[in-house]
Amino acid sequence: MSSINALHQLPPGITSALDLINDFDQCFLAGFANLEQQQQTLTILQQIFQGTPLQKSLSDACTAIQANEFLERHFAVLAVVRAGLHGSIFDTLQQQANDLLARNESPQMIMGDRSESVPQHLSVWLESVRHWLMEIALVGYARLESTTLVPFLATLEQIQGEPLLIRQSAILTGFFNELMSRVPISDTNAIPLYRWVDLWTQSMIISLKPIILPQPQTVSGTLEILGMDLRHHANLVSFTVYGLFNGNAETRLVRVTQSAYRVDAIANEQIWLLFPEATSLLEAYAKNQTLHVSDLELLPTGDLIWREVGITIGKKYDLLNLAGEFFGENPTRKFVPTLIAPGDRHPIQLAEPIFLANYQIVDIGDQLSLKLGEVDNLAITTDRISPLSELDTQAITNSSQIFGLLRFDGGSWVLQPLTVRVKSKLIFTGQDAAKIRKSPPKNSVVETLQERASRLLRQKS
Amino acid sequence: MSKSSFAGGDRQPLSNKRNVKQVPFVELFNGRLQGVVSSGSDIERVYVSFFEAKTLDFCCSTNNNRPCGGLGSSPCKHLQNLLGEAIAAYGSDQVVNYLKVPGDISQILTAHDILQRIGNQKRAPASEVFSRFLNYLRYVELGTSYYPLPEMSWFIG
Repeated sequence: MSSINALHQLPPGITSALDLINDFDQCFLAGFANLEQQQQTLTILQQIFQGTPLQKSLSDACTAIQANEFLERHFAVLAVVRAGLHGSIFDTLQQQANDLLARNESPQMIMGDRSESVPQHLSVWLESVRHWLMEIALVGYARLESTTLVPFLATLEQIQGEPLLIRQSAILTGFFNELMSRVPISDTNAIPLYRWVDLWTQSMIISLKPIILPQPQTVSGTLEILGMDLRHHANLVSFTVYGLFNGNAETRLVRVTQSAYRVDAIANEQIWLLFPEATSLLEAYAKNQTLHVSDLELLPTGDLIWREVGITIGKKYDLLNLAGEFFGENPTRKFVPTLIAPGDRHPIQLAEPIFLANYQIVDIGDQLSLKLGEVDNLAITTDRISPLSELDTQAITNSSQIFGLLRFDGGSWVLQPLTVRVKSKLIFTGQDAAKIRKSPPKNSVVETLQERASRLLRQKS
Repeated sequence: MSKSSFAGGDRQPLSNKRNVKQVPFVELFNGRLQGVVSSGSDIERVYVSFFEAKTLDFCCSTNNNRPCGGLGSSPCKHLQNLLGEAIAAYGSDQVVNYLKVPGDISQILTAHDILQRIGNQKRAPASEVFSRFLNYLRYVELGTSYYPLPEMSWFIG
């Protein structure tokens, strides 16, 4: 690995592309129905996309918007354009990380769709999502009020009940809650504009048509989990574990994700009661034991679809040693990387596994930073660590080894720790999950609400 | 302008103090602090209560729209419980701000301080809040997903 300081120097074009996105986002602050000087950005965007497959549709969209002809498909094009900029930023940054870590270029992904037909009503709901998103874009965040938001609830509730639309449900529910809790906005400077246009764009992109999962392969082998990323909003909690999968005579990095709906009252370690189908997974992970799995589906992205069937728990492994062999400074073993599907390529999804040791942690004005040798340093992000994680700044500060993910946010690379060694002990997100599952607290919030739900919801029907 | 995807995102307050047996549902939504409070005597009965932002007008009835017997010119114990739970869930700052309680905010710290500045009794159909509650309960019955959810990268907590 060459000097980690190489990450401070972003590849050419990244900063100006991010600036362009920021300029474009001003349109969403003002609202497309009220554009003034922001129109210039639309002109610049058209110049940039000249000669690309989006040239014509972008130019049609801009012309229509300037003439106050607001059609949903034009806003879909704007979303695709913004996502396209982020996609190229993602690719360039992924390359930078690969170069630094001397990792092979990500292989091409073959995304054969499953041949499944999608029920018609899904398309109707997605159309109403796109329509709602257009209304938000027209009004603009500065003037947004609950009258634009509340009517969307009926559609949102339908989407929440449809497992095929879980991705749309996850983002739209989080986005809706966030907007509802903030409108009307008295101070436009307090609007998290980049974030909200990200959420708008991603919502639009995945609502263009129902998402059909790519064709999986069936795999058997062993899984050794190295760390967990825990994400949640008021109504959903989702974990992704990163692990090494041995099967078909190769080792691959894989992700296993499970997600459950929640309510805000389930706000502590009781979230783990919501995952009945992850018992062996969490138990083996807590004890650093190998999982033997058979006939699981593996997507081309490296996502393993977990089922608690035919699982046995095997021998213990040394988690950080293993991480060091694959992701350390001088790796001795090779792995097949995970991938991000083309439509999802946004810098927020960059997650390059990395193992670090022989460092010092320094605390500069609330910002933890990792110092390697005399000059090398890398900022540590705590923005990405769930308040429900067992990892805290103290553990990170006292650590001697870290396995984590190289992330990109706020215009620079940062390290998200997943597992750390403090003296002889490992501390990692999700390590207490199995314990809670094994002996749940008496009268848990989950149990109380489930009991209420079965009483009242049955009564209703 | 921040280029961080997390700047200004909702960070959910984490409360271990909620009493969901007594107040199964509380939310700050659409200009109201609203929720559902269990009846002390009958497990089948719940009260639907809310405070309106700005006016601090209040309402409490059963889910069948029978007015709450404890309600007079001052809030009943259901409304008091609701307010207490809202403070446990969101913190008093957020509740006071959301309700736009009139007066010097630095002096309004407790449920008691808020109740000193209360508005008038109001009638409103219980169905609106009650259907929010049913939808809230529905979340704990919706299934688990085993598929990738890249969108959750935006939501850390």
